Amino acid sequence: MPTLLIILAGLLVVGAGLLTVTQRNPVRAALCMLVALAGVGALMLGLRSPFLAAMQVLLYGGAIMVLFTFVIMLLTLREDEMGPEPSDGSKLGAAFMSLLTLSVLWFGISRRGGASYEAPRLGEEFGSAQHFSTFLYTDYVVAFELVTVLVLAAVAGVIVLGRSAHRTSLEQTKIAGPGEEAHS
Amino acid sequence: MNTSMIPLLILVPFLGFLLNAFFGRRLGKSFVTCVGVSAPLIAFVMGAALFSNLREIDSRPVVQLDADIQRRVYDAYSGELARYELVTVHAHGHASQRQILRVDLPYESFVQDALAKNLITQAELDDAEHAEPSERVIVAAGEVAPAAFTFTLGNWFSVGGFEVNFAFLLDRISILLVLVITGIGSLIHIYSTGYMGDRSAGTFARFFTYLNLFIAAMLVLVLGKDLLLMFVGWEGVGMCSYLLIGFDYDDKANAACGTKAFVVNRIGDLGFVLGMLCLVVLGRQAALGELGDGVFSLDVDFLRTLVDHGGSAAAAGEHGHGGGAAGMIGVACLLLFVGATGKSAQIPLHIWLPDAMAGPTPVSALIHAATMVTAGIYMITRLSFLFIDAQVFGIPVLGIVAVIGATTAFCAGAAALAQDDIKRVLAYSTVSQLGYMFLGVGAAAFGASMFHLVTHAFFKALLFLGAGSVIHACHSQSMSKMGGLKDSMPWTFKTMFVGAFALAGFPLLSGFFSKDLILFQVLARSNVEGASWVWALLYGMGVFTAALTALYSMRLIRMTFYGSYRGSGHPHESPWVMTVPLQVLALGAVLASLLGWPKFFLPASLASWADMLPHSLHAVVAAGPTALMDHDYLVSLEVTGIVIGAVVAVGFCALGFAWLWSLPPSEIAWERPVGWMRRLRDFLFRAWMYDEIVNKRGAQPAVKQLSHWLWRWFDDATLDQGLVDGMGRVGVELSHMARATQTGRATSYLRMFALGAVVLPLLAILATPLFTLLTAWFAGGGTH
Amino acid sequence: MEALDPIQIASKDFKYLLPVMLPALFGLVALVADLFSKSERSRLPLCMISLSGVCLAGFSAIAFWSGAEFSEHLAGTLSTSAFSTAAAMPVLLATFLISLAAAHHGMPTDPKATGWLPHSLSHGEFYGLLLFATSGMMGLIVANDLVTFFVALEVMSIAVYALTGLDRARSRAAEGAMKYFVLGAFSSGFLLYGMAMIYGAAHSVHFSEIAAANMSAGQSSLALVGAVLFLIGVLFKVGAVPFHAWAPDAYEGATTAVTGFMSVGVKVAAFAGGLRVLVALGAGGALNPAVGWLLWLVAALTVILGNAGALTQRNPRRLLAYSGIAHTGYLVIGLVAVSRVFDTSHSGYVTNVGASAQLVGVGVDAVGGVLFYLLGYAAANLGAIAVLCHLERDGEEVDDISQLAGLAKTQPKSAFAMTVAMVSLAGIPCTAGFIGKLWVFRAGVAAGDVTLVVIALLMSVLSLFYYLRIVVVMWMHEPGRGLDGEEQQVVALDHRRWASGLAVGIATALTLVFGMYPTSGILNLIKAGAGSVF
Repeated sequence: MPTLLIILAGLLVVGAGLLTVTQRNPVRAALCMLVALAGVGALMLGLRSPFLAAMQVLLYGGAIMVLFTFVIMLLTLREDEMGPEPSDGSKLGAAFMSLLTLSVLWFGISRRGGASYEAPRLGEEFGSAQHFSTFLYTDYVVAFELVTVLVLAAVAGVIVLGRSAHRTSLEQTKIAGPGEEAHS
Repeated sequence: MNTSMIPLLILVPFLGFLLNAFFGRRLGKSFVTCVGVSAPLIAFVMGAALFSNLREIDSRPVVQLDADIQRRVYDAYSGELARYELVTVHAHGHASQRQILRVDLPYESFVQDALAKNLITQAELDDAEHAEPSERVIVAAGEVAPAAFTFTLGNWFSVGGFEVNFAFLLDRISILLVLVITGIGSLIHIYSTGYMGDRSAGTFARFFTYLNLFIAAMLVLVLGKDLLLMFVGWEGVGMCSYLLIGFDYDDKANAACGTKAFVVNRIGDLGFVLGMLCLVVLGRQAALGELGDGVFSLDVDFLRTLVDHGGSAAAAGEHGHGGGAAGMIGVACLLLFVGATGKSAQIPLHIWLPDAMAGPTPVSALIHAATMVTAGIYMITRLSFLFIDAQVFGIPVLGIVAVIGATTAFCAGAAALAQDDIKRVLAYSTVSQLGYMFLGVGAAAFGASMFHLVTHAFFKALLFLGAGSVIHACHSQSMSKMGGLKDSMPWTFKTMFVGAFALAGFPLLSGFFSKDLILFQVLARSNVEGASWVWALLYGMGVFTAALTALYSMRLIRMTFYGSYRGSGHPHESPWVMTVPLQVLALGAVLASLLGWPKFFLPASLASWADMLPHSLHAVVAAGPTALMDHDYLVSLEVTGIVIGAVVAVGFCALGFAWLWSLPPSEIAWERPVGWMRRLRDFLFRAWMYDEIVNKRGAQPAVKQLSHWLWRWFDDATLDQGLVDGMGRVGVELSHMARATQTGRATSYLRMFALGAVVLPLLAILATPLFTLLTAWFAGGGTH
Repeated sequence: MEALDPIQIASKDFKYLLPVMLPALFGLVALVADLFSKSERSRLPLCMISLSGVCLAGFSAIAFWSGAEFSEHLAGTLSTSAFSTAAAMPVLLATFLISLAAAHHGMPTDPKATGWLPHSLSHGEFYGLLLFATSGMMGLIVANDLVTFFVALEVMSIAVYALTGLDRARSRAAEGAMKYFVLGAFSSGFLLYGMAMIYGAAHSVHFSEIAAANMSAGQSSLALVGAVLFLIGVLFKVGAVPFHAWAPDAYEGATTAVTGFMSVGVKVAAFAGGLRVLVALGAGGALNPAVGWLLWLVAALTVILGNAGALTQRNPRRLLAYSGIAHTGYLVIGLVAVSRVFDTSHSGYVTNVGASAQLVGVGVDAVGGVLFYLLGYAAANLGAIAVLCHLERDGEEVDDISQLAGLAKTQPKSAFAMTVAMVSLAGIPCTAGFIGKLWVFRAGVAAGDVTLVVIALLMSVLSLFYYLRIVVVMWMHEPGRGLDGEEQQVVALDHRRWASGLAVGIATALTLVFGMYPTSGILNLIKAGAGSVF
């Protein structure tokens, strides 16, 4: 039963992911991404991690995707603002590269070799909030602490990048013309 | 004698550099003159003191003790560096090594001292007294173990067994160069105060800043005991040369010349670095293997043990391992020689030197004639033990050196004939003379080459400074704008006249003995088994080049000082600060020959003067195959060589006068040669070139055409465009290619990233099966 | 799996975390302190906060990390040894010098002007982000499991992305930051996928267990592909070809101080972390001989493209970007030598001699070379950057090397410092760059990759042209006359900028000291550090 769930969820994630990158309409792409993220939640459920699955749906599906959609709606991009449609050649190239990547990864995964690996027996409490947080505060406490720094850095970064002309006077603004790029 | 004077020797010009660099502009010209001139002078005095000390030690008896006592003495005295020297003796001919303790005390006092310190017991002393005298007291030091000072300032760095020390070595080879650099350097500094006198204070200070730095760097090059330290100096002088060639950087052409010198020297330096890398690999291998202590370096002493080790292993025929090491030494030597061709302007890297004449003339005299360009010869002489048996694919490296040297000497000599710019004549002449030195080095006549190096430093510095004086007066470098200066510039004329004859190898002047010593060694080499026809050919080329040398020297004098003045303005003699160095150098150009008068030339009472300089170096350089030849036969060859040399020099000097006197005046009246000279000229030249030269109808004269062709081919067409421009163009093309990938668009970056990210794992996966497949295939092919 | 007892993490173990966390703590202090600073007058208090954070982190690193062997702490998430200290030094040096160099950024040239120019670096966020990134770098150096490694990498990356785009006034900054961010996210994907596969093959995320796992049994492509994907992520961070494309744009877009910080800090941390993982993977048998050759290829391409690209650049930041790529290439030679240690089939010069102890010796040598090279590169590159910061006037930075024309006459000290930096970057004797190159190249030769070293040597000859061109412009051009003889504004001397002057002085002194007399404590530290890796 969990295997079937994993396979189905995997297919869902891949399909939704493909749609996300191929859709021209940003709102539709965002919705497809939502589906993909929900699929990842389902995958985690299949891997017996209900707590993580809930977090995935709550944070990504709930908070982040809503933010995403709002931003897209606020921007209200017109068709001509979204850049030209990629040429058939580059589409073909991308497809080829993706296939190649896929085959490399498949090769790696399929030929594991070595001694046969038995899946560890998981206790009943595996994947529960308690089990998860015990890990977080014991074995991976350093990573956890570093994540706090990460969040702090990200917040500081967002603030400083988001604050445009607030403290930077416009007189100082020097905008490079389009021709200057050719300099590189 | 305190050996710590050695680093002081380098420090003095370096201090001069610092003072001039930081305060020169502010404190004005007189300050710069004081500091700039006194720095090399003080260094010269120190060098002279060290020299006399070396000689003094050489004249003392030496005590040899057995290894055990030696060690005890070593331990007891190790705190007092000044009191003893541990000298490694390299008996030439065969690679045996002994360590001799040199105690800076008379024998009797040493024994007393040693007894008092319980280093030896009375019984041991009695044993030693009863032993063979040769084991107890070595004969006069100069014969066997010449003195050498080493001074280690400290460890530079050491990585994984690789030790690099700030170690300096002052022995007979380096003291010679030290005296030349500081002595001739001082004269040129004095001269420069006059030559650069009309420049602004800032420029003046900048000039002496660079010049002092150059002296310091050159001393590091010469005194460095470790190859890597030598390389520091090597790069340092290269940088100073680059800065000084482009000294008047306002002129774009000068800057371009500097760049050209820079590019060509980099190619040479690459060879040097690769050569050092080879030696490092070899040293590491030996240190981990048979030498055993895991410590290795590029120190001269270590390299010597390395060679002995590799040589003995090869002789014993050890499972091809030693053979590999010997082959590696050959490759290393060849690469080091590439470095030498770059610095010493030999084919194919000679092209930068004529263009280096864009620098001020004192610079040409100091750097591009007397000192820096001889660094290649010095390096090979210093590493003679490494080069002597080095082979690449069975070809001796020294043979390659000799062929390159002779070819360069000939081609550059011919090119010098076709020049109009007075400095370019001298530049080609320098390249040609350096070719002689390489020819000598190639014939394993290291002493002769060093002798020529010293004499050449005198007369070529003289000629360059004289040319500078002329240029200073005429404001032109073109010889067709000169003429008739012998009356208006009497001292310049007299001194340059001496210099030109010394260069031409006129008998009894300095160039005569040194050049003929080299040629004699080549001649002797052609009498040794193995490729003797090559050596005979090289000798022929050398003699022919000597003829060319005489011709272009005479041409220079003729064009500059005779006839009537063809330029503008009224040239007048230079100030005394410029003429006095000229006079001193002229004296040197005559007297330097005393350093190497051949033995048969001297009465028996003066026998100790014979071959003084080359002979004194015998003990410190490796000996070639000619050392084993019959002595009487060698003397007969030497006499033959000298006679041929004298005839060629005198003959072609005379011929030069005759020919040049007869050249038709294009705008001025030529003076007529008189009497027998005219007849000689008619006799020799009418047959095959006289008519063309005189009438200038039809084709260009053969000699001129040939030299023009050589010059064009070597200088302009192939190398200049091929090498220098080519390298630049490749660089720029590469750069454009690199920049073309940088489109500025994130999508194309992503594409590049993705491509790499797919290709790399694919390669990792496919490499192993492909490799196995290939090896299986090859193995299958091999067995069937 | 049963739950672990929280008590088992002894609180005394947290001291090993101090060098990682102290910068972050002081970053927070800087952010808070910025709230209370009313005027834009001076950023010196913030600079002081940053400097003290760096110094404390440095002292605690020396005090707690410098063991001769790796020891694991905090449930095996950290492991420290002299290697960690040696790698932390250039990182902290970068933060220290950049803090100083940026302290006067935006100071008005008119001494009577009140208030500083509102400019990008005038925010407390600059110092905050700088210190957060430092924290991530320190974490990357000591991480002992893949999870910590990744989180630390992201701390560093996110902070540096933000720093790159800090200068809101210039569209180029935003553009560079955007490119860096997008490509960085892409590379993180590869890195994570690689980690997942390594975990699948080794059944553990801890380096020591990865090293102990026997992954070479059978034909384990899982570990191999994982290792290569992981290396791609690391190679992106250090700017190796073909994952280098972000570097020129990001370096040029960023403010000079930030350029300096990311060119040194990110590179050092990524190389140090990458080396540890590479050794663990090699010991665990995840590398096959092809990986060595892949790195070989990457090194050759990087060296060639970096030097070629720099040859015709006139923007100093862009030039330093390409030169940074070239230096990455030289450093990858060290990685090649390390990967050869685990390659028994490689017929290098050393394997001819035989014993495996020598192979390890080559590895130790290579790691030592990389560590010293990084230190030398840090000193020289930061010296050049500090000079450029020192020459900033009213927020206008040096954007063309022509602006340096005649600097030797107007500001001889700066010109001297710049010359030393260029000479060291070019690898000329008596500077740190020379010894670093010598060390790394020697390891490369010992590992048998002579061709690669020859390519690198050839290219370093090429590099002389663009480094010395700057020297020539400074010493041989008249002030105000650029490369093509065009008019250039002369940057006037400003004695009030003591902080950036101090940074210039420190960097120059270090470059010379490391080059001329490196046999001090630092060399022993590096040797001990290199010895502890294997």
